Amino acid sequence: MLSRQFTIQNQYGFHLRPAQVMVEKMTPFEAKVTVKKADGTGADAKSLLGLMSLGLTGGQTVRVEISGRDEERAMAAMEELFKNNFGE
Amino acid sequence: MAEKTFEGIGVSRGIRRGKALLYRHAARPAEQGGIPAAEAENEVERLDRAVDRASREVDALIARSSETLGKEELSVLRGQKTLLSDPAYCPEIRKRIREKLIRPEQAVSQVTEQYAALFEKMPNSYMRERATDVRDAGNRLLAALSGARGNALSSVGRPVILVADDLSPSDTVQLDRRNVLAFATEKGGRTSHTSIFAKSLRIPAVVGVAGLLEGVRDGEELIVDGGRGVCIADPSPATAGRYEKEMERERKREELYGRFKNRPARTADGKRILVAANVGSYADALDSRAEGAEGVGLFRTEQLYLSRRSAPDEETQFREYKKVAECYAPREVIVRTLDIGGDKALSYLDIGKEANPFLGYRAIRLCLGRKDLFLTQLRAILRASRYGKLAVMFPMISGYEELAAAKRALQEAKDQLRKAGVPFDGDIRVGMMVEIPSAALMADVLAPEVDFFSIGTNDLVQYSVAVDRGNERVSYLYDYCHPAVVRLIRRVSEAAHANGTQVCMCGGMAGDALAVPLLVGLGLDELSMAADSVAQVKYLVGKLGTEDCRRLADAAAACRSTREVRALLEKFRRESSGGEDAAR
Repeated sequence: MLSRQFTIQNQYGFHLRPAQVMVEKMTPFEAKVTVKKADGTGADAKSLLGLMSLGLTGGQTVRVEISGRDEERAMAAMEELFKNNFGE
Repeated sequence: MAEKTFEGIGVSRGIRRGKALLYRHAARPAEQGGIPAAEAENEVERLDRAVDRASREVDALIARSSETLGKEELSVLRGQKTLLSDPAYCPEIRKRIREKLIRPEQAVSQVTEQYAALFEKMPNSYMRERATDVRDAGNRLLAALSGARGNALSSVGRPVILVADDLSPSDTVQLDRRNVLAFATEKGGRTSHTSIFAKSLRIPAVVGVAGLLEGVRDGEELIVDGGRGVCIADPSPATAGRYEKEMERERKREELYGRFKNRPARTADGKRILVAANVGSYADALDSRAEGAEGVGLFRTEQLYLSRRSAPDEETQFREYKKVAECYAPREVIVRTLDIGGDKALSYLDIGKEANPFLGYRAIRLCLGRKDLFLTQLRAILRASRYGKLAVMFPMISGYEELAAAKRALQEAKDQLRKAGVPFDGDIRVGMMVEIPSAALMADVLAPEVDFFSIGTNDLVQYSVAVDRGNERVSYLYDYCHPAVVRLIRRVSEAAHANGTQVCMCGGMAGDALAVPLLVGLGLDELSMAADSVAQVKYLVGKLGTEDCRRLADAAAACRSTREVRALLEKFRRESSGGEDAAR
């Protein structure tokens, strides 16, 4: 299992669109991808509803855990997403 | 029976007359009560079949609508598909069926409601509206579970006017367009997806009509006037006659101007004149595009700021600008930065009482004083710029220093975005309104500083003739045909062209058929107007010769009075058209 910490860019927060982009990019991977908040609550990164339920706001730190055959490629894709601020 | 008039919000223009068809959503009996454990797997299978069917329905809908609907509307349908395949949605429904031993119908309702409520609690209105989309997807799934084939609205069979409590976006998009002439609903608002869909499908519609279902009988004669937001049941012969005449005029207009609508406007000798629209919202953008506008010459952003408790945040603004940019891409949309002042009260902007609000702390003056507001708007415009072609325009510029300060603010917004790694169109064009006489007189100094000028005649007349057009005793002086105004426009146009700067006009004058030859003669490159005038102005431009227009402009600038200018324009119109424009 791979695990990495990311910070939600505080400028725009984590709205519907970034969540949609995350779901789109993660769905093709076989690996299980979980986004966890500091308080331990987590959501499936392939679920828009799950991600929205987390109620993430700008500036928050999240831990992304990925486990599965293609976990390395999935993590690379996730890093890319955060680096580009979800294309915003 | 006597004629009954119902008032609502007109969301899609057009007049239609026909028989009312009352549509009520089939009330689905709540499948309460438990199921035996042994049946759970059968019920889960029933659910899976319904999910499969519902998503195939959405696919078919998207395939069918991809030509008639815009990007924004299609994304609503795609959102339903996303929901149906969301790992938190159907798996959660299955889990409830198995664990709580309830019917799929009940499980679907519970889970749908749970997520709809989640969206309803979100801070911005865009997110809150998604609750409707979640419920829409849930209803589709419930319909699939009940075994209902398709939708009753997709095959009406005879021409009707649909009357309903409410229509969901997916009801609307499935409407049988050959037979649903128009619709009217009790619920709904101007910006709901249903309204937007009606507009983009060009079905006349009135929403938010109180008492409609009580007052209209099935099969009753009904007139829907989507422009005025009125429904008339059982119209008297006089009313019906009046509307028939109006529909006839509309048909004639369409016949005369329709051919020019979708062609680029050129004068008879080939000079390109861009005919664009003034808009205040995404809904306006859809309307004006359908009328044949070749871009937006003025996107008024004030609507976003009015009737709210706090200034709209960057995200809210970004979404609206992006939608309008996408609607018109690859054509240009000129976004005017906030033009507001003491005459319009905003609770979150305390400007205080001013003796002369039109000469006071307003528009660019206010924005330069409230950098926080200004930078937020500029960032939102810049971020949206990469989804189409946007331009930024500053209002109420009185001179060089003000323009320089506004441009510095734009640079600051760009720097902020670059630092945050946020992409935008680096070549975004920058322009200013010319609506204050001082700016018109200094046009030669200002022209090299901008990509375009946009002449706002409404304020230009008010400031140069010193007349408040709201004051009945002096409003007779308010006329853009004043020779001083003609001279100012000429000066601005000449200074601009000497510097390779484009000149537009976005005031009331630009959409006035009488003034169009004069404006072409004065060298305007772009005319931006209310959507209704677009087709007519395109038609008029096509008949003009630039040389005739130039002579007309010279003569107008040499006139002594407004009356003389008007007489000249009337004469030109009479001579150039053999009376065929009477159809207006």
